[in-house]
Amino acid sequence: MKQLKWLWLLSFSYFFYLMLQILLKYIPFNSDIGFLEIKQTEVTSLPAYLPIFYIHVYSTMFVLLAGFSQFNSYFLKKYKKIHTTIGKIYVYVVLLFAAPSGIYIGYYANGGIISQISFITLGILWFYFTYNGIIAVKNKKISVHQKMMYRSFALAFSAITLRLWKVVLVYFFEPNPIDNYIIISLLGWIPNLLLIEYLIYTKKIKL
Amino acid sequence: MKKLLLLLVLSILISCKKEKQLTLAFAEPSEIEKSILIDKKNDDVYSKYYGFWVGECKSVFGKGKTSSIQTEKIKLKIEKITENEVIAKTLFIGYYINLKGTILDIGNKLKIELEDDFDKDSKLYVYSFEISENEIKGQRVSYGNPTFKSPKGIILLHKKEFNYNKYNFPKPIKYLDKSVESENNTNKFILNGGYVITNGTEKINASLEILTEKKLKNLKKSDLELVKNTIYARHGLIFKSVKMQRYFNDCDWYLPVSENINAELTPLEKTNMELLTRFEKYAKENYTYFGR
Repeated sequence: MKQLKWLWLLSFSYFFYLMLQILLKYIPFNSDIGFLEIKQTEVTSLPAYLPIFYIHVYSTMFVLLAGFSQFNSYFLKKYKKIHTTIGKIYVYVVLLFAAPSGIYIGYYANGGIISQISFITLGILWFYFTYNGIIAVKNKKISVHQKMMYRSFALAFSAITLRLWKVVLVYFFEPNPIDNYIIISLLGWIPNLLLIEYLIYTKKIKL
Repeated sequence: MKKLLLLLVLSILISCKKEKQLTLAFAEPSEIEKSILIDKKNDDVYSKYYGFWVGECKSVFGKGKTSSIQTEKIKLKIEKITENEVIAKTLFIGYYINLKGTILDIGNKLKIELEDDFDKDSKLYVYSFEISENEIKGQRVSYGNPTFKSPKGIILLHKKEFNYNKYNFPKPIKYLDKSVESENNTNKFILNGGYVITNGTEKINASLEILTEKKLKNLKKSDLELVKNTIYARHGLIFKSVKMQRYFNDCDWYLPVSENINAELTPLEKTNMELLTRFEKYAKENYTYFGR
């Protein structure tokens, strides 16, 4: 179990670094870089698209930061205050920025109705789990808080798994970009959630 | 007085004659001028052969029942014919090869022998054919190309003028070999020249319609390349990319006439070109990498 924790920390750091590199593409602020290169239709026709897109991009790092500390029981016991602070940042960023902006850009997602529904559902569930997680801890229901936050972060982690699946699928099947995008829009978060539900159900996660 | 009068009349007559001679000189060319004109005429006799000749080279290889025919598209440009020299070019992969040779005038036809100016060891082509006003018939021997199983081929070419036509399209899709077909990958097609594209790409005409992001989003880099380069091909660009040259060489309408056609692009094509370039860049930078 200890080794697993180190493995998690190591691989998470690596993916966090990859995400940071993606984020750096969007600094300085620009209207036609990265993903926006193929999103000019939305950028030019919807005034709200660009700011909301950037809110979503920039909020990622604050959200993913939680992956380092929040689920480590040793850290939790020893540095309870830091846990609370990082947790608060996570919750506020998700509820106020990341999830709503995700739902908005999900509505204009590439790939049509399937990926639109997928991303919107992802956003709503993410908001729901995070909200319930914070309410639970305020009511001192620690077990519910833990379950909800595991679910919440499993969905936050889809930012990484979605991109990982993309590389894997391209490597093996070389699908067309949008065909691939529709698949990863589902594959990015559904298995994450199923895995967490399984771990909670079988009590593999200490609650 | 009578003498004086005679002199006057005579002088007038002479001057008149001189004037007449002068006007004549203007109307008719002098001997030197005549000879120049004749020389030019002699040159022009062959000008009807100048320009592009396109067609096929067919070579048979194997014997008996196992023999088969290999066909290759040929594009030949005759640039100059004089009594003792022929200057021509032929399209090789990605560039033109200069050809030089001799002629033999046999009445209504010319017999021409052409070869490239490479050393004996690296020689590529030797042509020998008869040329009439609308047809080239003969043979081509090609060296040093391992894909040609038989070096000797029969050529039949016709004269062709370059015309920009926005309706020109890549050749209909077809499978190159059965191994691709048996993979049962219905989304992939291999075009002539070994070019793999997504089904439907060949229907996108960037010279005819305004392209949208939506229309291009599902295309791969190779698809975008094809749509973009088809614009160039319509304008007769000589491709530097071997892949493109090989591919478009198989299109009957494609005539490689210029190394830079940017000035010829229509406003519509320019707009589409910008979008295609952006998508190509995105595909290149993102498709295989961690990211969206």
